Amino acid sequence: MRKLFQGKNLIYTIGVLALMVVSVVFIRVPLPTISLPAEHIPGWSIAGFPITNTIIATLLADITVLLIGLLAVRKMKDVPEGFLQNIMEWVVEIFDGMLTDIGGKKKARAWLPMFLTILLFLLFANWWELVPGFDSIGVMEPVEVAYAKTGVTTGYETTSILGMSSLVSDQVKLTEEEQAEIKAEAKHAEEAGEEYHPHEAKGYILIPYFRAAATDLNLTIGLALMVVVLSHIIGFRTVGVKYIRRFAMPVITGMKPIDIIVGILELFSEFAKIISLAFRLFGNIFSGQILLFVMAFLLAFLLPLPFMALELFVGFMQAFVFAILTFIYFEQATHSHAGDEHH
Amino acid sequence: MDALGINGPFLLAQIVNFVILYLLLSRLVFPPLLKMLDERKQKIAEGLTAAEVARQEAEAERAQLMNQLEQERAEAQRRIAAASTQAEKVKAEILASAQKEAEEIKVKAKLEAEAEKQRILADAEKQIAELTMLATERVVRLGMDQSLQHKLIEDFLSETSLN
Repeated sequence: MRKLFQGKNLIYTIGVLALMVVSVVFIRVPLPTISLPAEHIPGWSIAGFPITNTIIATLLADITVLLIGLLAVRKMKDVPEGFLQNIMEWVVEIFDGMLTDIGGKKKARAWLPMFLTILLFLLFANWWELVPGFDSIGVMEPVEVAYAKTGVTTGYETTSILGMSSLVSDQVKLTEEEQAEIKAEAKHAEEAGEEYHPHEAKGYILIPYFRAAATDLNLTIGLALMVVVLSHIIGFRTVGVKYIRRFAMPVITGMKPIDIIVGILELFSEFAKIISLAFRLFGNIFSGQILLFVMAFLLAFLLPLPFMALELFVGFMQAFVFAILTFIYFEQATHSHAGDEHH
Repeated sequence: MDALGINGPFLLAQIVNFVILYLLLSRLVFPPLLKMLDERKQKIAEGLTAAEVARQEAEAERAQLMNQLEQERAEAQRRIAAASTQAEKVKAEILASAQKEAEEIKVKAKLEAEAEKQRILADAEKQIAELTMLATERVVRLGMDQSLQHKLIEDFLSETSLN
């Protein structure tokens, strides 16, 4: 601690403290407009489908995983030299061992690719959020348009820094009259089959090009749905028709009445699986994103750093939890229901 | 649903995206990695077995060499012991022969000395006899002939024999 105030370090210390003071007094980061659905990037569409910023982030994560994977297996050597080959081998070996401990060698090998794909995809999808520019580079949209689309009433004034237009922390709020006026104009434009454009933008909001992929419920629910459906397919393929027994089918299988209730619970738990998988991932990453926004808003420098480290961990943890739960659901589906076989 | 941003086509697009990613990764990336890991594991296991075999062989060879060395050492010990007893024997023989020789020399010297003594004594006796004869001759020159004379001398000599 004492060394912090000696020689060269003293200069750094003073510099950092000065940066903090400057950031508190002069540099105010506006709090981004937080929207639960992924934002459509204005003017971008493929075959009539709007492109959202989470889709761009998803593709970015895809490319990252594929690139790392393909570079790791290109020119593989028996005595590994490249960093990528080493680290990928390490990852594969660790999780191969872990899955073998849980489900045995055969199941581990069967589902390791699914496990690793989920893990790596979500890992990079989550970690991209920490790269500068994510959530902060994008398209300026007039607050009036944003209000017409999503009901946002708070925009920011803009300034130009190094030729780039940037939001400043001065807020612009739409008054009630303005809101009513925009509503009327938007309705009018819609009836005329045109896009609504305000005459004059009072303020702007930022629609970032990139937003963490897992902050889009379409991704998390899509994955969860796929995983749970796959687990049932696996169940049918390994256990056979008897797999239905775990859900209430007393008429077909002649089970005891209590099994009806157990079956109903099981049925509900399948939906709970989808919901919990999807919302755990979504909630953690979305709240992490907001946490980083708020920290940067409070103090632009230094303060967000520990939270970024936390998000690094959370990003890995959520990817791992999703992947390991997938494996466990698959594994559970292959168990024929206890006792039924020997009645 | 709209407030949450859940939207059928997007959801489907995400699933399709994931499936494509899964197919690509599970075809192109994971099989070579797993193959490499398994092969390396097998190689290491083989290497370890080979090393164990080599170690055991070396151990056996070393034991054999030690055994041989031990045998040779024992042999050398035995030879040294044999040579030593041999030398002891030779020494004893030499000593014995030397003693014997010395004894012989001693005996021979004694005999010679005895002979010399006898000879000297005989000489002395003879001279004494001659001297006695001379003396006697002088005494009895006239009265005795030669034969009597000799007889007297003989008598005298036999009486005064030094033996």
